[in-house]
Amino acid sequence: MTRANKTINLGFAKQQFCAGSHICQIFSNDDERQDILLKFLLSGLQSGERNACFSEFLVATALEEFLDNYGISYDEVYASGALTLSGTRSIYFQGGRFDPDRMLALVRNFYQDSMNGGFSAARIIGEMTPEVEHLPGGERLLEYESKISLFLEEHPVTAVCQYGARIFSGATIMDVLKVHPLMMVRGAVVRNPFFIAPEEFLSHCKH
Amino acid sequence: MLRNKPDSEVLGRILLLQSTLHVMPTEEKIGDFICKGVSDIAGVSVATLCLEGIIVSRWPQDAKDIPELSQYYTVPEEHRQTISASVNSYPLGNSASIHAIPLSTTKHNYGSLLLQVESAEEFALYHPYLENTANLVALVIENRRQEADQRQFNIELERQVQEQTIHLAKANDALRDNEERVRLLLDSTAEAIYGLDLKGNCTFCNFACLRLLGFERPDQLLGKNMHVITHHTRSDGTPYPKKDCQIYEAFQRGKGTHVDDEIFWRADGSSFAAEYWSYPIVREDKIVGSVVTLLDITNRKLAEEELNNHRTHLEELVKARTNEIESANQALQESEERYRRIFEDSPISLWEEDFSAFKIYVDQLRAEGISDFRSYFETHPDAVIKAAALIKIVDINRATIDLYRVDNKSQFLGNLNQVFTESSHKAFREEIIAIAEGETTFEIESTNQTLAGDEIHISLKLSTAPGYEKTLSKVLVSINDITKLKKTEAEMYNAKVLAEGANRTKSIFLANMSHELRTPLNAVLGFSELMARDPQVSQKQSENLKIIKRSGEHLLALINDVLDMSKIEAGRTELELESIDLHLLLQDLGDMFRLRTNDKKLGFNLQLRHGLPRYVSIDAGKLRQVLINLLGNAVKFTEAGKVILRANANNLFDGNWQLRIEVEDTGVGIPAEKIEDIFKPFTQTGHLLANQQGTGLGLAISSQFIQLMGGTISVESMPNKGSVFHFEIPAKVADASEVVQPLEKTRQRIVGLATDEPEWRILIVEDEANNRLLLGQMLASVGFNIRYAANGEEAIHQFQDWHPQLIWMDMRMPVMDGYEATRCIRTLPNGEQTKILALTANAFKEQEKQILAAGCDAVLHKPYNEALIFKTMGEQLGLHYIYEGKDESPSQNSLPKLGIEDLQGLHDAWLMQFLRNAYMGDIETMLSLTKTLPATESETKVKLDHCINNFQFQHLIKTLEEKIGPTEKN
Repeated sequence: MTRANKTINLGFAKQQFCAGSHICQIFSNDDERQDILLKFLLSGLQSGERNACFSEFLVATALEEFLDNYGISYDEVYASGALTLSGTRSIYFQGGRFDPDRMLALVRNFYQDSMNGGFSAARIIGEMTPEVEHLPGGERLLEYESKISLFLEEHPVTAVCQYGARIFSGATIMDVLKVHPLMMVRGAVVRNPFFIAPEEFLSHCKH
Repeated sequence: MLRNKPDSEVLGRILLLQSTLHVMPTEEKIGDFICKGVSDIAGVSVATLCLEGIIVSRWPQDAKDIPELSQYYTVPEEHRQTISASVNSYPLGNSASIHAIPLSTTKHNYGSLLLQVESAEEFALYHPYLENTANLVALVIENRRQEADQRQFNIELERQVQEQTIHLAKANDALRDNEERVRLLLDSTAEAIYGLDLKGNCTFCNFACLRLLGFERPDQLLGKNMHVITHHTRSDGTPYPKKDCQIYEAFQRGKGTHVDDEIFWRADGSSFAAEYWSYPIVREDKIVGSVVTLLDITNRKLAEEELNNHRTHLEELVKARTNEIESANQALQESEERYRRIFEDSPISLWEEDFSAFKIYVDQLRAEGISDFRSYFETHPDAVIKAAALIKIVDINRATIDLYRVDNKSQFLGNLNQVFTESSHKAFREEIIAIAEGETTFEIESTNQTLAGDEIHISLKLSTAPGYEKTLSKVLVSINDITKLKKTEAEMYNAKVLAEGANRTKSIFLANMSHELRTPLNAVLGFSELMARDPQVSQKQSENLKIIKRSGEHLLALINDVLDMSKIEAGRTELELESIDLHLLLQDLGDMFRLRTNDKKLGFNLQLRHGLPRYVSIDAGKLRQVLINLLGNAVKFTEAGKVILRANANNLFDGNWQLRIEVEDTGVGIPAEKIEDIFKPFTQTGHLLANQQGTGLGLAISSQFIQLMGGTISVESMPNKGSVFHFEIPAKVADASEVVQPLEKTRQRIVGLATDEPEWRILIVEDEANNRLLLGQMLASVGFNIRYAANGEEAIHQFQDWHPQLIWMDMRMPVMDGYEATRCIRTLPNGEQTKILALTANAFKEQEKQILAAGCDAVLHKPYNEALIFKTMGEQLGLHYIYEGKDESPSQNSLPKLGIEDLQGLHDAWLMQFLRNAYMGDIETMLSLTKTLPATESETKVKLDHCINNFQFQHLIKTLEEKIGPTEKN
């Protein structure tokens, strides 16, 4: 598999982006986070993509009402497998640890299942919680994000990572910027000049 | 090479920093973010954010302090330009430029962004952009502070509003509480209460008043004249004018009145006898009305009448009862005389005792808080002595005089100390405890002594005479002489102990004999196995070897039977529970016996009934031995037809099952007269079996094993039709994860060690030369390095000289045995790390415990087979072998995929709930649901968990929908 040339609509930006884009959102409050999340899932569902959302704070009824406004039946998209909701902790911290390799395998399965299931593309939006910094394997968070950038070149799942400015330190936010090629700035998605290419970043990781 | 214009990439980073600043919620986070962001761009090596002269953040965090920089932590309020200077950069000592960029807004200067710059030329290109960034930082900080002030102001405002609200609410509550209290007081009173104004009109009334007078709502009375409505007519039917009404006295004359001989009238026109009180209501020294309390005294009036009638009736009764008591006294006297005659003439020793003083004593103890009389009397001997003094023997009969060899009652009562010897004290204490605890009858065996000095065993029965239960002043005691009975019992017990001792001696002798037989047999079987592996052995020799091996195995089976029986008789057989796959065990046995039935052209059926639990905790070794024995007999005694192995189970409660297993054949059957003896040792069923081999111990051992497992075995049979042996045993359901994989899983023959295994040094310690050689050849054939020792002393020398990683240790040897050698090796350097595996021909369990206590890591019994030897070594050393026909050790089976058949045992309601959560991808709920599955579904649980953990929701949903169809999502 190689990166598809397919362009997609993210739902919250005016531009079109390539499938497999890896975007970081630094949010200051819950409204900002939820706004991006709902728009992202809506545009994915409207374009026949398979969607996964990993969040501790998404209320299913809120999503149901939101989709209903656009004529999309929440029940139907669940039944068809087009939408999967899971808690951040149950996905990222299974067994009380953060395991990047398990996560990569999970995203790979998700992508392959989506393609086998006849979906036009696949997208994931996930919000990270600060407890990752205290769990076994948490020190590999940046390595994971960098590997995801590399991974998405071969398995073009469009991914949005949400980090709260209130719950992570300023220094951590700056680190996170270095492993995301694209980021959201005041409602627009821009190329991230702080981004370090995975090959270079991962070579430093090993040392 | 230095640029002469700004790099767009660096400018991009600065712009991104500026754009992202607004989401940072605190000054500390702003500082961390901006310092780290600028520290590796534009020639900046260290960035420090200072607010009001204090460092809020610095990056890199471990950058050294430069003392002369502290003057730039505070920038003067009026300063709006960057201050640049040159300082010595520590620790290198080279010169670096520093730039303190003010954090200014139009209102205030908040501090400085202090940048330590290694390349002043590069910095100069970006200086304006960084100044702009610093201004933005100042603006965001100003905003955050204004927001914080606003929040604080709002909090203070809210606090004040809350305080006022609480104050107001409290005042309202107090007023409402007061009114409610008055209302509650009135309505909770059973008496009817109402108020009157000066005209006699009702001003208030309570619920009791409405109820008593037959009205539904207060407005039916309020404002109405109460005398006109309820008090208008006297009991004799004449009108009752207002002017005569006693109630009016209260507000007309200001004095209280109390009346109890008038009537009041209800709304429905009925009347009732009433008692009332009327008191004036005075406000500011003026009478404004009265309050009336009213009671219905109809019942009281009736009761007074009834009481008078009753008194008359009682007086008549007293006369009648006096006559009856006189008659009864006469009958009692006659009854007492009859009792005396029976008491005196009884052939059993009878005593009449008086416990009344003891009863008073017990009541006193109870009043002092003593309720556990057993503990009390057992720990207070003085209380027992006091009790003995309080209990009086009132009378004894003639049989007592005869039993205790006395001349008369006085002599008996005068020599009680001799009768009640020390051995009877415990029985006496039990007796008084029973009485103190309120028992009315009590029985115990004890010993007494006659006045002639003979000890007698007695059975004492004590019962309180009817009618004396409260005072305990008459308690009857009967004494049975059981001396002869006790003597007979003692003789029988001694005989039994002697017999059991003899039996144990015999069993131990048999066990030792078995040991002596098993040791050489180990060599016979082992060498025949080794020789069979030799490719140079001819076909004829191979057949001869098979005969030797079969004969050896038969001999071993006979010895094992004798040994098992001797262990059972010596009481040294123990239950060894383990978690097993019951289905697998039964299927393996089925496979084994299907070959044997095929040889005899017989049919074989294995029937596992629906619901038979798969994983159970049970003594698998004994169960297997019993089934091999029953199936072996079934095949042996059946010439035509078939053999059936059938297993069923009943769920008793909470994971506890009763297994029922049957072995049915169509063989020769058992004659009815032999059925009873079939499970006795050394019994075979007569002429039909005369040509069969065996010790005749198999069924006896099976029966004993089943009993040990808590079950029963029985047989139904018809000669020439066949037999059905069946047994039932309890079993607990086990978890799949606890099940030990049986040896058969790796039954391929081992031909060598894996290529990546290191050199393994194995020491064999064995006094018997043949067995030593046998084990050595077996191990050497797969690539182990071998050395030998003939006793414990040699073993210690070899250990010190050669440092083997593993030692096979025979336990019974001359010079120094295996126990002592093991203990000694464990104390030597590296002795703790060496694996020591014991070999013993002794099969008793307690022996195994002693061996492990001496320091061995595992125990193997002779005769052993090579598979067990290699498996044990593999477990102890973590070895990988090469198997016959394969290059590597067998790999683990991968987990089979979840299929619809895995869901057959699950309830539809559970499946629907699970499916709904699968639709929603709710991993946590799905995992918590699989935890609720019973242990019988543990394999299904593993597969479901695998699907969940691997995100295979589509497969899960598809399989579940195939089973129950699509379901609602909520």
